[in-house]
Amino acid sequence: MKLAFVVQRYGLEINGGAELHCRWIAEHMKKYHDVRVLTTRAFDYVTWKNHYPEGEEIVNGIPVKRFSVSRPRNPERFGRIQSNILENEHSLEDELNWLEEEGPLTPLLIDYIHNHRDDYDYFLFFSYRYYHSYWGINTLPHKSILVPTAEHDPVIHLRIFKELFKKPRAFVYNSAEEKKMINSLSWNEDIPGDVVGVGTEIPSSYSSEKFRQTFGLTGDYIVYVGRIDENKGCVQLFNYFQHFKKEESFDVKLVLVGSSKLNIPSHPDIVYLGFLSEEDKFSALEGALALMMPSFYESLSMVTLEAWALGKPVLANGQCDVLRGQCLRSKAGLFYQNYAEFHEAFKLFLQSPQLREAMGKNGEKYFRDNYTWEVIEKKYLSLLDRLEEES
Amino acid sequence: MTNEKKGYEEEIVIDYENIDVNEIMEQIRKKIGSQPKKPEPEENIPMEHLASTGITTPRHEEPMGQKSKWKNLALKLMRPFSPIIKFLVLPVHHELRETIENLYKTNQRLDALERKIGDELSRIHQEFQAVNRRLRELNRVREYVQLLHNLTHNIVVELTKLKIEEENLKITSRILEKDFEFLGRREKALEKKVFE
Repeated sequence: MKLAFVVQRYGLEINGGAELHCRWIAEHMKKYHDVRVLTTRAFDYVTWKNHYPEGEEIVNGIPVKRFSVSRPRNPERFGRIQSNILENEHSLEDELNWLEEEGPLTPLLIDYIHNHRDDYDYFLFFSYRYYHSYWGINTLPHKSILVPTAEHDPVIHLRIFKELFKKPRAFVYNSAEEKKMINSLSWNEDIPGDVVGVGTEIPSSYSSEKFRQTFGLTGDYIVYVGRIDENKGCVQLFNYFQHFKKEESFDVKLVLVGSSKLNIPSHPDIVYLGFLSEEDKFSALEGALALMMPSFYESLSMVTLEAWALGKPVLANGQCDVLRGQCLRSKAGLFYQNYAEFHEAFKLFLQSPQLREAMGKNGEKYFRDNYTWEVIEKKYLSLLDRLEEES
Repeated sequence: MTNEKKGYEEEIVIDYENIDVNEIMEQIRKKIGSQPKKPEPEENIPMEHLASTGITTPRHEEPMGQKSKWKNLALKLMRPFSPIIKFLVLPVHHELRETIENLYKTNQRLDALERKIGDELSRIHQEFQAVNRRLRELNRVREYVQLLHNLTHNIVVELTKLKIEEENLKITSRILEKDFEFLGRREKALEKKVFE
């Protein structure tokens, strides 16, 4: 079978989100099918400026065809248009205009999909909200498989997406909550859709002791891994953690791993390590008491799965229904919806090594049962087989 | 069923063999409900902007790596001489600390001012939104008035037409009455002639 993976950005330097999700799935599906990636030349997800050279290159053994972004995004104008459509009555045309502003504007990619429709069996589109998915699926709905990676984002309620979700041949969801949200928005239960998610690449060697030595860390710590950003709930986490420290005398640090878009508060127990290699990231997770996941919007949270893979429990933001659902299903994490709950859940974690251990074991089992590459590959292959049988 | 021993006795009961996250969360909520309500922490983080300026206070943690490794090594080597070093650099150290404290306080004041400005801006924004809402309502009322005006105008036109129609009918009935009267007189005259 010949499969095209269509995604907004692609490259080894892009280490998170739907792009990494796409790369990992493509690299694993390569074993079974003829895989090719169709993407843009963008690297910066804010402006989508052309960065990579145009044309074709091989990334980890997969041919990647890049198309130019015809107009970079103007964040200011886009913000204005977005708040206008979210706050006011608007037409379908306004929504399409918003989509165009959001980008990455690559009509050449859509032309390619149209002109080479017979060269591929299926096109797998990643991230529902971008130009490539909307116009790509509208160009070839019967050959499209959508991996929406949708969060509880206000734009999902736009009319264009309600219609879009009725068009693809099949869906690959990240979580049961995502499936429920999209089904309730578009009433598209009749379209085949499996909850699959994504696995993770655990480095062959990592060591929490070496990590502690390298970064001079002593004592217990909890870790946050990811972009340090207000949208990821980090401001709330900083506030809650500092207040917790004022009220309680536990000797515990909050270690932050990831690139920061925020000012990190100056606090003796908040340690910012910046962006780390995969080995260091897993070492940090291994040495932590638990993972903090304060994000309000997640469609899956790969780092939560990584923590569970290493047998670490998670304290998550319960306002994100995906994280709440994952904690309940895995029995490997607690969640909070306000400061009082954060305080009590965190305290319970710190006071009970037995609970941490039990939850860690549950997390490991949940990961093994649902998110190892063997399981993920099987789910993708069975979906493709089913589609072939149907057609 | 096992009770957690350290501090959570009789409060949170956990079955470690078969963890039920929902049940734990329920117990946590119950516990919170029985306590005085904890206020949500304020949104602003103290000293948030101090870190952004790059000024490091003694409490500030930098990203650690090679640099801190060397720093730790240097500190270790200097440890035997630390009383002399402290004695020599005490005034400088004191001055530096004072400067940092001053900067910290200034930053706190700036933070407070920024918070105030933020509050003020959000108040203005809310007022602006209220004015906008009022304007929208006024516009709607104006539209209603316009509609009522059109309606009244149409009613007046219709009534005028009806009045004219009524006048026409009155005239017609008067003519018919006269015709009838004439026919009556004629009938009588003819009757008279027949009997003669």
